[in-house]
Amino acid sequence: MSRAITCPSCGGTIAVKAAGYSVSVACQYCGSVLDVAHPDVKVIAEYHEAAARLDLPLGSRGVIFGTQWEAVGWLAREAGGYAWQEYLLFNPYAGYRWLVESGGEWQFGQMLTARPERLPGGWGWAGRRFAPEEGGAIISTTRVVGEFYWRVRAGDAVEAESFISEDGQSLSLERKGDEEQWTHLVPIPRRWVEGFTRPQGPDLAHPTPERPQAEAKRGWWGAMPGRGAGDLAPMLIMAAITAVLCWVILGWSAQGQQQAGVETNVIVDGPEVHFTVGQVNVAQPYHYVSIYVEGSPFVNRWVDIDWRLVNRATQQAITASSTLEYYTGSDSDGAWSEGNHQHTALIASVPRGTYDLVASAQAKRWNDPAVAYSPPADPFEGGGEPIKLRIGVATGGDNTGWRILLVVLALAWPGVILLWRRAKD
Amino acid sequence: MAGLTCPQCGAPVPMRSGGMPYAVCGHCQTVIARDGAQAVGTAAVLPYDISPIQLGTGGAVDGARFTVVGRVRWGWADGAWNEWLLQLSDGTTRWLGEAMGQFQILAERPDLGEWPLPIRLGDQVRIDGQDLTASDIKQVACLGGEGDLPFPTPKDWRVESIDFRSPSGAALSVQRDEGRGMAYSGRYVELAELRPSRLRAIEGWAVPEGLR
Repeated sequence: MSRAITCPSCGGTIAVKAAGYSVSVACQYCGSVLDVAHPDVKVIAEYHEAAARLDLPLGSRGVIFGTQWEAVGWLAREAGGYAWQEYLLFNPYAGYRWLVESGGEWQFGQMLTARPERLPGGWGWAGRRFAPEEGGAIISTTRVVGEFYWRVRAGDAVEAESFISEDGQSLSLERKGDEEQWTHLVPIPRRWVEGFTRPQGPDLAHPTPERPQAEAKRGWWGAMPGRGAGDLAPMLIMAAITAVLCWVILGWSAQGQQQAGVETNVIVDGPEVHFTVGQVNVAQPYHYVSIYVEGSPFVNRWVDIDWRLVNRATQQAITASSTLEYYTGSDSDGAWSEGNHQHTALIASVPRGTYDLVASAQAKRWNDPAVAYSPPADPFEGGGEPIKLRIGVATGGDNTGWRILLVVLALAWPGVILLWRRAKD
Repeated sequence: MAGLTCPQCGAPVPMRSGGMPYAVCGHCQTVIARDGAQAVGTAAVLPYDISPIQLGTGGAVDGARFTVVGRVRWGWADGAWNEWLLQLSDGTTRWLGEAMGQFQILAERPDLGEWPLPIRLGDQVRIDGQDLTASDIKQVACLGGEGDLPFPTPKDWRVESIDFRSPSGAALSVQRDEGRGMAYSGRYVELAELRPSRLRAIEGWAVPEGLR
């Protein structure tokens, strides 16, 4: 349930998700900033902008550290010519959090209700020590969309300072007048943000036209092929033939051979590593290329690898990516672990030719925020931890999963019709 | 004292706590003085809000079990917040302040109610070994109430609200109108540490594991 309001400026319908908390809403259609603190909605600043195109559309939901969050607000901010974006996340049982994206890296932030402890040359919080990252800055908000629990508007400016710990977490301090707000930010894998599901349900601003009534439109709809009672049996036979052909042809096309292999090291929190895996020959007109990567055992690290299969003749590249990740930790349900140390990237329909497989890899450290960080005894050791990657590339590949999917899809539609007719009788 | 019926509309008014002198009829918002079952005014209808707390929510605080028996909602120019009244099993009460998704546990401090002087922003006070600073002074209006309450909540009730804060998260809240002053001291809490039960079900959201 939410409180629905109508934008007085453009007439768009806006669902206020955090009803009772939200004070201002920046209309997602025209950008006008509205006062929703009181029953009568007032326009604070009128704009007529194109709707902002967000990486994470407002209303998207995803799970971070075991709690589901909904993106309800978005700020574009900048300081000293550098720009980044911040999403306001909300869960009615857990309150608000921040999701900050800067240069492709994501951080998850929680507002503090107490000031961190003052330490010589920095601040202490959650068992870590945070040192000043750079001098203070003036952060200005350049654009806003969505709902906020304070009076937000484009052009707002705050004084800010940021502090960073050895393991890459940060504390940010924003000051406006007498008020100061501390926020604790931890880096999170990009995959968690990519796992957010986009908002479902009807778009109130663009209602879909009503479905044509089955009876009234019987004329053209009923005459379409496949609508007759006797069409089901031929449909099932055609689906079965399609399924068998798919299975056999795709199975044959997947046969192939090992082409190249290599081993390399990537340093956790170190620079991106670029390397060549080797040469790949595709002899058939179109073939699969599968890339297998396995990392030496690691915990609470992730490795992002981008693959580029470069055609020697045309220099055109086909890209793919792999992520190795493995996390453990504990929460109220006890100890948990998730992830894998190996991954296979399967590229379909690679045209005949000779290719070079080149790759770039980067490894990152993830810190369980529930566990106090203990810095490594040797300060240089933490920066030098290697993960060994073993990579193999082959033409062909196991496409059994895809073949099963195709068979299921081929049989799905007649199957649904069969079940539907059974259920109706 | 058993449950009574609303003198205005006749709806039953359940008794949620031991000794609160006022109750708000859930049907017609009449504010009822329990002593003599007199109607003393009308509270505004509370607008919809997405709070996870409701009348009847249980939990534990300061070594005792509690039940939420009442609520007052306050509004000011830039927003609104809830104060939930907790009846503890040891006979005392607390207020659970809820603003912007954050929670505070506050206990009434009768010893601090008669504040001697006007309060200005930046004024400091030392209470229970903590230095607190007046960080926010605003005029607030009562937006309504529900359940059992220690004071009536008429529609047009306006008070001055002063928030004191310390760097450690300790809080003092002073509310004054012409008649009297009330002071409450406390701290920020996480909802989970109150081990709540019977939280409000909110459509489209699952109650998280730790709060069931």
